[in-house]
Amino acid sequence: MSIVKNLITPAATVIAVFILLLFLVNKESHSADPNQFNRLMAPPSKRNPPPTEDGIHDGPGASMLQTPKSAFGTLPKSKSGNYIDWVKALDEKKIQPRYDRNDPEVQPIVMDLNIVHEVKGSMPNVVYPHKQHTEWLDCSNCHPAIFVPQKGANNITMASILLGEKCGVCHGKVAFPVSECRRCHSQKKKQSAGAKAAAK
Amino acid sequence: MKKYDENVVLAIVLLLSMVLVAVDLLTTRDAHAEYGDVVINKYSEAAGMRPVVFPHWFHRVRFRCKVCHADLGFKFEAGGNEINMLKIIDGEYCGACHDGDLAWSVENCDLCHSGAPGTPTQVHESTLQKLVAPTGGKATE
Amino acid sequence: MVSTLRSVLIALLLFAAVGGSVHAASEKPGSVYNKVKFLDWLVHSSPVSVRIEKSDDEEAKQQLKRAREMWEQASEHSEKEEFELAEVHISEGLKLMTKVSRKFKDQDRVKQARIDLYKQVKGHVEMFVVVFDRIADEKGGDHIRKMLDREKIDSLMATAEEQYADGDLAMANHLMRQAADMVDHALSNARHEEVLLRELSFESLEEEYAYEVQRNESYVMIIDMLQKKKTAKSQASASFVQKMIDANAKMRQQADAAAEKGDFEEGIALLEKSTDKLSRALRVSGASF
Repeated sequence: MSIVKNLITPAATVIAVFILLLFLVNKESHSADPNQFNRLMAPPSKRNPPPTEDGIHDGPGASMLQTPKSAFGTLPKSKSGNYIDWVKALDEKKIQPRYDRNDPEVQPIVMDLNIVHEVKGSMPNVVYPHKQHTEWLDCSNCHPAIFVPQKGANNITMASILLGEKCGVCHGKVAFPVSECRRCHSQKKKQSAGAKAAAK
Repeated sequence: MKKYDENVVLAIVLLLSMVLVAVDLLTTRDAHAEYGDVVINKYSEAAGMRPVVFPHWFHRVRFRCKVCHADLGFKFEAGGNEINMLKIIDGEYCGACHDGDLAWSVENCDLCHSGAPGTPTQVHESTLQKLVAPTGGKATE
Repeated sequence: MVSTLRSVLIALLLFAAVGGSVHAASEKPGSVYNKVKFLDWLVHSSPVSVRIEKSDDEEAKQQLKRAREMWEQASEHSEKEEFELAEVHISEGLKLMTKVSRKFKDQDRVKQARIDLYKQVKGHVEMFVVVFDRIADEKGGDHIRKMLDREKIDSLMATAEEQYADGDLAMANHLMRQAADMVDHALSNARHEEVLLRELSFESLEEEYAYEVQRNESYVMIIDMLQKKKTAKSQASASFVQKMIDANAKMRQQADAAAEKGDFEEGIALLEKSTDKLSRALRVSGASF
């Protein structure tokens, strides 16, 4: 009988510990619950994880890659995406990305032209600044494949942006996400425009 | 006494494996990689390599979008570019910089091919990943 | 009793082992074997290795030979399961091939890439010259027209076309790029610090209705996304959001019915009201605007 006793004690311990572990696992991992609290806002501790912990990396190379946090330390922060304000980072010369692959001296041809897009409803109008975009991109990246450079030629809707077209080719994938409504919808409507919409 | 020792060993082994399985379950559950990380698995896994993970954030610190997307011909679409090792070694696409001169070269296989096996081509954390189009809207991919 | 317990323990152990092996199996991609296989193909049968073999570049052939030796050694080490040594030789082989490949690019592809680039940049210049003319017309002043040296642009483009026809694609591209930069500068100067207003204007009520449908669906999608990502702050607000969604679905049907009968005015009015409900729901469900 002592054999049985000797066997049961560790076995019971093991099972008890395992159950405890499972419990802890469930308590810590919220992903099974679709209605978990505040999921969109990753807590600061979970932001910019190192490649070895981000869930899409694996293998011997992952631990050799630079971690986002070590790169982002001095860059201006934002509320979403990489949690970095890339436009500001460039503006303040915190980063100096090359415009030419080989020649660090080449500078972009910047175009300082704002396009205000009127929208219906309660949202403010959209201000599209060429300036910030031409700092990063060449005209040919957008014109004419994504936007025709002509008045009235571009039917831009939030639906198409959300589906990855128009502005959504970059915003929502790499450039700041569409959850930052006010960064584009930034111009309060003039009284007359509002009255016009209301009269309709 | 001999029996007891054996059981202790068995129990410890069992406990350890259970801990490992539990840790495994815990860590592989949720992917929360950096915004804009692109997983490219068009040919990789079929060719016996891990998928490639392209970190946009790392590259935009060093180059403006235009360098790759205008000069090197990368289309704005995950999986929309016909990239293979032969072209890279020839100096096209990634190989324009990853030539052992401007950036490290292709012999560091595991640095790019560092994606978790089974991860499909995607832009990580993109709006499209989180979205269901209404029935009236266009289909997403 | 003992044997039963023991077999249960062993079964559990096996279960754990299977769990572990799932992990071990995932180690397969990226294995040394697969890398050796790739190097084998690269040095023996890839198009670049064939091009080197066919050439009379002795230095390149020598490098290819060395790359093949690297493969051979990598292959031997990998068979003996000396993986670290195998990796060292794979790495050397790949380095050699990268260096020598540059001199033996696929000329057809190089040419095609240059042709594609030329066409793209030419399209860019042509398009923006038209845009520039339009701006100059709108502003009606010679001071704008002076910003672009048309004679120089025309001559650059003409020379580029000649070079293109002669097959000097690199030079053709260089000249066309200069023309593109000129137009970009001119446009940048002509529009400096301007603000253009794109007002909403619809050609017909039907067009406006289509706009309203899009606007409505945008809200549906955003709310759906937020609902999946974020819990409403309270049960009360969650049920409010759901109420708005249901009300919208109903009104959208009514609007569609009205539009089908040709009464776009009614359809637009319904959708405006309906989208307004959604916008309230959106605020409640936590969008930051």
